[in-house]
Amino acid sequence: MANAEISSAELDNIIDPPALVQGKGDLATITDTVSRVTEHKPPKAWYIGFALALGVLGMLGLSVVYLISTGVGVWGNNQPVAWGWPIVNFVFWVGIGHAGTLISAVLYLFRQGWRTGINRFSEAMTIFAVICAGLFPAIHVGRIWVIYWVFPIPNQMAMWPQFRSPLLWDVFAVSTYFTVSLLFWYMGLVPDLATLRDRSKTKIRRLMYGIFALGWTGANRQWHRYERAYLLLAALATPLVLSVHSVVSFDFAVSQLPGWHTTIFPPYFVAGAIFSGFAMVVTLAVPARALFGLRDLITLRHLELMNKVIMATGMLVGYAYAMEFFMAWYSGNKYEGFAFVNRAFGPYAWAYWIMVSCNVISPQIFWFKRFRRSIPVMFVVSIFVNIGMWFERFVITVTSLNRDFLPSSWNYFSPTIIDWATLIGSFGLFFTLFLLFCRFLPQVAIAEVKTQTPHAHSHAAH
Amino acid sequence: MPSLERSENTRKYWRSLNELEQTPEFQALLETEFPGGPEQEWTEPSRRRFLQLMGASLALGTASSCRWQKEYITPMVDRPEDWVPGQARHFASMMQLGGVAQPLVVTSYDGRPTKVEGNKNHPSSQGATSVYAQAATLELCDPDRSQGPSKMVDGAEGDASWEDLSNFVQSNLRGTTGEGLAVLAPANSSPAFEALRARFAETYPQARFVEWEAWSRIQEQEGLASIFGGAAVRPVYQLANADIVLTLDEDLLGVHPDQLRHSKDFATRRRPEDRTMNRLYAVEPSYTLTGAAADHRLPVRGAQIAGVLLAIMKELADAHGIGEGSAPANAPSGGIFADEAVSKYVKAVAADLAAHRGSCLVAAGPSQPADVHAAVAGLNAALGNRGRTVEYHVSTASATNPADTAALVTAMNAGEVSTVVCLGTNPVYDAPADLAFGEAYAKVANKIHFGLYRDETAVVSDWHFNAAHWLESWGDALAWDGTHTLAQPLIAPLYGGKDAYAFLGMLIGRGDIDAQAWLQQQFGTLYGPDELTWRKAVQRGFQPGTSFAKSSETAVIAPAPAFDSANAAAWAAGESLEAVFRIDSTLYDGRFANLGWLQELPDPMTKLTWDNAAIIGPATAEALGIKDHDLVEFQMDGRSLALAVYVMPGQAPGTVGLPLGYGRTECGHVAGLNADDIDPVGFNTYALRTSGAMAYGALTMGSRQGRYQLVSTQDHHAIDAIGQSGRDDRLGDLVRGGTLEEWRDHPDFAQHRVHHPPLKSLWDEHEYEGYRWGMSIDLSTCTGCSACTIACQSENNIPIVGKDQVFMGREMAWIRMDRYFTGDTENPEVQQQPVGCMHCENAPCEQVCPVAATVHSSEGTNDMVYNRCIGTRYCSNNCPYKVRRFNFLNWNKDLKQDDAEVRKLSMNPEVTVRVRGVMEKCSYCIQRISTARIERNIKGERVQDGDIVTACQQVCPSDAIHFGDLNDQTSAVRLKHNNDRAYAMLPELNNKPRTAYLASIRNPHPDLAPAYEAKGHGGHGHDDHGDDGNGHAEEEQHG
Repeated sequence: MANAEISSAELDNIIDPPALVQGKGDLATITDTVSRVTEHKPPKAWYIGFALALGVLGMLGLSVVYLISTGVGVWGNNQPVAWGWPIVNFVFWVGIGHAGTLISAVLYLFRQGWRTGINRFSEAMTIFAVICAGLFPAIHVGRIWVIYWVFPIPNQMAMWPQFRSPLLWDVFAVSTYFTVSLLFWYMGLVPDLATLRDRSKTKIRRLMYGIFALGWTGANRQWHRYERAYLLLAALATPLVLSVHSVVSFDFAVSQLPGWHTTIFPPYFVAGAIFSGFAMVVTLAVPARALFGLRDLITLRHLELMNKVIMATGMLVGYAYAMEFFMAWYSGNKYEGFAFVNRAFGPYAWAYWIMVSCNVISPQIFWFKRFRRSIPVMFVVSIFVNIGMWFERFVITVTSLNRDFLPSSWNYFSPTIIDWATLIGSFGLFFTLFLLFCRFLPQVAIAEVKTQTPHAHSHAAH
Repeated sequence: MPSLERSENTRKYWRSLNELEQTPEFQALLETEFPGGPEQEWTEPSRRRFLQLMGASLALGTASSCRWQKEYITPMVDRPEDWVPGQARHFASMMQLGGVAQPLVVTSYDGRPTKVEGNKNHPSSQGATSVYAQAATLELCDPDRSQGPSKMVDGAEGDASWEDLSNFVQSNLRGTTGEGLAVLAPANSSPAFEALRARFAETYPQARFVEWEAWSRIQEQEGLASIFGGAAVRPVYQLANADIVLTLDEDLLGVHPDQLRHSKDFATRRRPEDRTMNRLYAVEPSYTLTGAAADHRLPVRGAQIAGVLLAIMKELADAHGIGEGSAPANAPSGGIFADEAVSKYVKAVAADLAAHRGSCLVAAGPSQPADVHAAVAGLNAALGNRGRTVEYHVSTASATNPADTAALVTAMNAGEVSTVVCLGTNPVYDAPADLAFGEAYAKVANKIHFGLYRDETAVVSDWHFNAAHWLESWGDALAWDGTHTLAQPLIAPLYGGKDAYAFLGMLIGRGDIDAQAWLQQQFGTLYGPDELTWRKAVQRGFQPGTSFAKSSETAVIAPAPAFDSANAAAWAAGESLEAVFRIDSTLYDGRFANLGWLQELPDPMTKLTWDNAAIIGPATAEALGIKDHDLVEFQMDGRSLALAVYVMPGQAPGTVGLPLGYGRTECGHVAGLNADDIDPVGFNTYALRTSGAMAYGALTMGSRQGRYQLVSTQDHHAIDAIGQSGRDDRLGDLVRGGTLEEWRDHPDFAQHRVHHPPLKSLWDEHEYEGYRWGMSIDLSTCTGCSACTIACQSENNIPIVGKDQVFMGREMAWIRMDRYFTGDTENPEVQQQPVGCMHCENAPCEQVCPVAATVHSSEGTNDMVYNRCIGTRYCSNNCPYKVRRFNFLNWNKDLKQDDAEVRKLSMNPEVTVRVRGVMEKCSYCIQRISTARIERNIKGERVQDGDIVTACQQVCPSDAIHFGDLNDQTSAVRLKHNNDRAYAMLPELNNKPRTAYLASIRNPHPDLAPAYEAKGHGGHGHDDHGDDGNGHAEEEQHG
């Protein structure tokens, strides 16, 4: 294991990666670094950001009120593009919500220690992204006041949902995912909440953290149970990483619309989701670690590892794009073939090429270590990927619908101002929740990250 | 126009050239042009309108309580004795349009007329109706209708009463000889009205009684009179007997008054398995439905049509020895006649006509000068067609002569007229611009207007009196063939209006004429006073055997029509254009402008809604440097008008099609109302139309004035090269058609257009042991008239959405008319295809609905459960035909306004009015299925073929639609499904649609059409795969 005392920094970098916890790195410092954020007044930037996010959330609220009181016609949806931006936004946010579980559960099972710096953070992101995602199908339906009909609630009409519909699968998949993610996140929080409780100086803090800490004392037995439960939940959550977005992709793949009706969709969607989720983590982590002084816990190495994942999944996505084209041609189905030619060269070609540039081309810069470790570069690329992945969903949803089988029905889709307001507004919701999280909850898993300190390992080496 | 480039080797389809640019200016223009949209404007609560309605209700309530006499209306189908509340009853009635009766049967629920159908026993309807008649229930219940008499004092509207009219007549007219009195009435073929008119003439011998119609067939009448000894004769065509038909700008299947019978007869010759097919040649400047149905269409300018006729006459005389007496000495030459395509066309037509003597037909349209009509009649005689394909009947209903109105205007200007009564006319809006009717009218001391709406004439009159709708009144008129047709009221006048008989009676000073009594009395003088005869006639809707007598006159030989050889020149940029005025296919002359259904009904050819436009051919537009949506100023005879340009393939070079009937300023909250700041819909092309150019005239193009967003239902947006090629690639599979020759070779060629692997279903399919409803649509007979769309709208309470929403692609039509072009852009062929829900057995929509709101019935219909729908719209995404329609907004919101209370009357009580947020679509008229099934169930019988007639099927003038039980091996629809021409659209998706299309068959002249072999779609003729007997199920991929 790494031994900082005997190797030069350069040699160390080559033989062994730098430690996942930098700086002084003793246990008290870690606790203090993370907890301090919730205990002191946040930096000014937090207030500005929160005010901004709250304002944008207000815009979302107003547009949703207008939407529900007027009808979904306030959006640009039409015939044949019956699903427009709301569904694009839904898939986009669900995708974002993928990184959290992947980092927490899958990387946990694979014993990727580096996950500890970012897992809390990305799990929170997951929860909030799924909340944003859940909003859209709900407000997207024509009659939101009867949306509970999609749930299998026993009723006097003996009416059940229609179990063949992928939308219904979606309801189950997303709600399961949300529930498990929330539990997983919360469970991980318990020891840290107890830490915060113990550090509390005010009654209210003690009370609130105390309630949510569930009486955690840090006893050996508790740790034992905790580790078991964590492992089990991780095992439970892992298939969900694959299933949620697979099911979301069924919304498209199960229909017979050219451009949607493709078997490649489940893996392609999962890869895309991980891709966009990691990009979002980078987008959030870069400013957060600067703002809250977490540079030692979320290190460049973390970011570099994530960039590698981004590059890998970006190429997976690129492969899927290419394979879709190949299959469209190889199938000999002229409607399918047209859907893809139209995608790349038709009226929405601009969207397609934005998607390709952002998702396939821009991550290629991470082949170079210099850029992989450059904060400005990775921030810009992560933004590009976010944009590109939004456009991927736009391309899939809108370009397939706008020209399907009968040319007489072909029509162009243009968003309205309410489309914009709900899209931007959903970021308001996301950032409001995220900033509240940053303010009141430990952004880094204090207990877990301690296992990655050189300190911890030097103990282990003994 | 790069989007039009295509390779030459395959038959290719495309829709139009409509290129829409997504520039911000456009969007801004759209915003400003329609500030509220018509729908919103209706919903403005107005204290004034509220008070008006309350006043009217009070008046009505009072009036109904003091009604003296009970009136009986005799039912057509159901007997009154077993009248059941809530059950529909049907009454024969009639609507008059342009002086010609349209025989109808009106469906009424508890005293509310809700649906109009054709009178199937009447020879000129046979069950079908025009689009105009379908919208009558909406017109009846239009809150914008005039709701009471009013008096204009110094430009302000004051209240008036019918008493005021009596007083006026007493003080100003009674006892005079009628000097200075003029009545301007619309064409009216009513014998009872004619009798009243005679009384009027007796009472006021010096009064003028002038008829005015914006669209008149006077030139036909004059031309025929010139060779039939001066008598007014009317040609009645028998298209069923015609093997070859040549129309010279005559829209036999479109706006001709006898269009329904023509379509029916024409259709009998377009089903190749039934009878030998006819061949239709159409020579016309603007694309009409007749042109669309034609096997060969020749787009020429209006003024060149006489030349084409001359060329044909000359060819007939020279090459075939027919009509040598009247043939011109020289055929026109030069210009278009030097074009090989035209000379080939002329030769082919002449050869066909000569080869089918006695079974061909030449018909000239109302736009053509009198001498063309005379020559055409002569030609028909020379070809031996008279008595076979055309009969000349002595008409007692004469066409209106615009010269009469011109003379009246002269008299008005000379101060000879002190009182003008516009009895249902709106000359301030639709009189020729050169007459300056409004100015002359202003000089008249007493101006009285009587009409359904407070229109452009009403607002400048001294008095306005409200007319009763035809659904509210008794009436009679003559059908095109002269059959005496009767109208009976379905409802008491909603706003207390009077009918034309009563009004004219008041003018005469006879007080209130009871139209029913007057009608019965006049009927008695014609057919005997027997009460039973009258009652039977009312019940039937007409008096049989009353068609006009055939003219016994031998036509004199007409001289060849005059043709100025200067007109022969082919148009070139820089020369003046030719304006082609035509009656609008949805608004008629503008009288129906306030009916949202008709405004939103796409024009069958241009697919434009909520607007008219300057319609220009692609080459002409290119030469003029203008494109779609340009707002361009046009000048004609010193007058100018800015119009939006619509580039329409097939519009003759150098011509500008100008549909009439738009740009109303005083009509209502739909079409335009100055008082409420509602902008007119479309452009008032009457502003350019003069007495000298009622149909054609020289037009010059002025400057471009910006952009104007036109909205169409089909080509919402631009089509690029990719879209073009994708469309070309597939349309031959979607809209299948071939030539007669191809059909003879391979009657089932249509079933071999698409080959796909064997289809497997994911789950066990349902067996349909009881009824198995299905539909068939014959593309060979469908003319694209769009009556099905409007009939469906009326039957199924389908809302309109307004121009801005159509622009967004949210129109609601359950059955839409897809229109595709094929071939040369300057002279394309057109194929129409009505598309409604196919009721797929493996319905893709059903599998994706999360709440089971769209489900299959045991009889195989794909039903929408509105109550259950939550509006995910997934079903629409998964529908390959995109026939589902979504209530994006509350399209029926205006029904909640108090002034729209009356509009609820026109709703079909059998069909739910949908709320926002739910999906809807064609239900195969499930309410009609249920009604028929219940009736048969009560009797313990099975539903018989013909019991169920869907709204679209019922209205279809060309019998293109059939509906019934596919399990019944003898049902009409089963036989159609078994027809060799039958094919399913997109069968490779394994949806198993219940609607089958029958391939369209054309009968081209061998000399004018490419050889049959070259016409295979994508090189995939039937011959390609040999006679392995494996048909379309073989494992072969169509690519």
